[in-house]
Amino acid sequence: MKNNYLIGDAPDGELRRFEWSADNKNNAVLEWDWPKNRAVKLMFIFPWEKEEIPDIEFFLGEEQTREIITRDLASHFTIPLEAEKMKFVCATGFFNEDKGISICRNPYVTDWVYRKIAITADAIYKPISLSPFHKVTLRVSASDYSPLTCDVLRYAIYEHGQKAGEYPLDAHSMSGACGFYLKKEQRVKFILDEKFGHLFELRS
Amino acid sequence: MNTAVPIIFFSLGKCRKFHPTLKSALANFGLDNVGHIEMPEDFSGAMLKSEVERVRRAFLHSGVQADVLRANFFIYDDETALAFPDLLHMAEKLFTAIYPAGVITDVYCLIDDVNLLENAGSRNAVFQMLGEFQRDEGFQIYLLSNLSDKNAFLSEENAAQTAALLTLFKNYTSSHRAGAADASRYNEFFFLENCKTRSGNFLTAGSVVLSVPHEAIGALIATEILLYGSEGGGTGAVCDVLPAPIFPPKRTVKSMEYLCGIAIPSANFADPLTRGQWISRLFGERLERIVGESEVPPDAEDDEQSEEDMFPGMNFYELLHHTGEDGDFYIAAKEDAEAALAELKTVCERHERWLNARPDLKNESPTRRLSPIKTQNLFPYALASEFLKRKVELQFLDEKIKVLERRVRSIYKFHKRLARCGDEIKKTIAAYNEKFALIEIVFHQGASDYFQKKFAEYAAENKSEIDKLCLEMTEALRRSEFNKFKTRLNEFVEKNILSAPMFALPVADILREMGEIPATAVAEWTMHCNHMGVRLRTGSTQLYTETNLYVPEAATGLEVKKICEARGIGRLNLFADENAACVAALYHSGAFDASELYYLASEDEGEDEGVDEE
Repeated sequence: MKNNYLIGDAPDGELRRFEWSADNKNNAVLEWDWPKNRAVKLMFIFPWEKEEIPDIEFFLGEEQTREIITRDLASHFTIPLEAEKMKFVCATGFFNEDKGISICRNPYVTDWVYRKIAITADAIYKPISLSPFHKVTLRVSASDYSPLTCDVLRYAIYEHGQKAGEYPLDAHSMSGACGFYLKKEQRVKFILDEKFGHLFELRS
Repeated sequence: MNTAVPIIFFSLGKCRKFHPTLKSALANFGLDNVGHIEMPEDFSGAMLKSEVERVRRAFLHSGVQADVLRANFFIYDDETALAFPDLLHMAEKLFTAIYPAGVITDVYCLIDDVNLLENAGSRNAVFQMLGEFQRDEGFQIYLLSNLSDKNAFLSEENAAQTAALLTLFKNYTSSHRAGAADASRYNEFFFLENCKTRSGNFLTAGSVVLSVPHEAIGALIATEILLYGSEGGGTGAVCDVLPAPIFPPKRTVKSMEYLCGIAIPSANFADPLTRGQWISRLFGERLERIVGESEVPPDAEDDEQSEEDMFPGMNFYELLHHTGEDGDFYIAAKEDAEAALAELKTVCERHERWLNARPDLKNESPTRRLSPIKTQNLFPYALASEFLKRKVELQFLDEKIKVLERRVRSIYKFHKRLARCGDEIKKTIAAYNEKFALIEIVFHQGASDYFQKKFAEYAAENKSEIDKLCLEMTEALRRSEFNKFKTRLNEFVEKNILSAPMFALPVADILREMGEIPATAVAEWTMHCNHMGVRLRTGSTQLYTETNLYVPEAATGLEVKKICEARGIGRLNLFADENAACVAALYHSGAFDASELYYLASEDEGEDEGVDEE
């Protein structure tokens, strides 16, 4: 297969836009605007999981997984994130006069796209008879393990819409084995640190 | 001083440039009743007549009326002097009509011995002209050279001063002579009779003036101010206590209400655990995180004082001393930091003991009624509250130590910077030292001590002023504006100190206050000045030098006269004026024939005849 490809650049062959993101189903979504040169009709997409990016010749070897998108059909591509984090190497291509295919030497490379960990957090309220208090138990679970979970998640106590206090969590307090007593008008809300929004998703 | 006989000073040709210097010297010696006429070498009769008439009207206006006139002519040894004969004849014609008793004429010729070779041609012509005039007319001709007998350059100011002194002495009346001085009045004829001369009456003269060297004294005073406080005097505003450091306020401790919201596992509080173990079991590391996240009090980061604001209001030398490794501030700061470290260690040990002990559940377990039948044991939260209080205290002590250690480092760095400023002061003082070395030349050894004591008296009377100036110096050094301060210092010394009565004394009073015998001092100085003399490049030997001393006080002058004449200085005539601010010595040396003034030999005569000095 490699011998069928040449390496070369087309004039006005640059993409006019290239963006990527992860959706909430842990898919990577790549979107672009095709170049001015209408001869550029192909987009080769190579998933990659290492830090160092090899030359394009490497990706054209038989062993490498690839997806090919044609200009007439789409200018976007969605692919499941099979690893915790992945990069995507995208190279444009065009047909030569002899019907062979030339691939652009300098591909477009995304940053790391992370698979989000879904955190499910609940506060379970248990009333106490004849009491203005109720007992609260916290239960937090994550779709995957991450050492950051305790750092990114906190809970806060609200009373009449006003935050009364904010508290950190650890593995023990997230296990459901910990509780405390709150007044009935007080409620618990979980808070995800925005800085880690690209790694975690909170469902509470 | 008032002379009876009016004097007109004529400046011819190139000598017109010398004219302002001459006017200034005449004013210095208080000579009035003088008029000034400047003439170009190509002057006309009408021009001269107009000028003479102008001066005569000025004399009349100022009330000067006399039958006799003195005329002093100034020429250079160049071709512009060759118009002198015409000038003299025309002037004499005009004067005869106005001053029937006659005109006493003196001629001053400024000779440029520094550029001897360049001027040779015109000089010979000028001397020949003067020689002819002297033989025919008989008036005195003075040569004012710009080289001394030590080949030191003499400025035009010196020549003007000499001319002014000669005029002064020639016009002294008996009331200005020192009482009991020689009965014979100074005059040229007496002088000449006492000189071993050849024929011819060219005279050389020079002068020196002993006056208060204000610039040198100013330099000495400036040095004293720069050193003020370096020997422990200073402002006296020494701070015995190191200024207190600014600690950040203690962090706030979470309330029990807040702590009751921390999720904890169920536990049997009867378990035999230490407090530390309970905290670990119930809270894990969450309490540490809560302490770390507690609100930072405002201004917690602003506790570092800038060097420019450290120890305000202190004299530089006090600062230098107190911030040094042996200084009070540094030692106190180190002690404070060490004390805080010791306190932290004590509190840490106390905290460890508390953690390692089992809780007293009876006293450490408050409760809360959740319902009529349910009570909550708040032991975990009471434990957390106490733990957080102790952690906040430890944190506060830790931050306090950082502030105190930073203070020690700041004082150290500040001291190093002050030491560099000290180098800058030393450099300035060295420059001032060169200037005030002149004091010892003008007066005598030990004169510097006299002026230093004077300044000490001034400083004692004006302490707050000097203290304020020294504080300004310290501020300027802190802010690297020392050069600006030096300008301010020089202005202050000149306007405030040198004009103070204790520094505005006439030179004779200063000599007396120095405590030595003033007459001896003046005599020494006169002997010293006598060696300066003037250049004698005529080959004449056996010359007799006469010295005239102009002193402010007769009594001192008589003593000086005795000392000097006893030491073989020769004849010393004294003139006194109680208003005088200076002591001046005028030296006359010898009389020469014009033919002896041909410096350059012709080709036939071979090499230059050179100097054959006495």
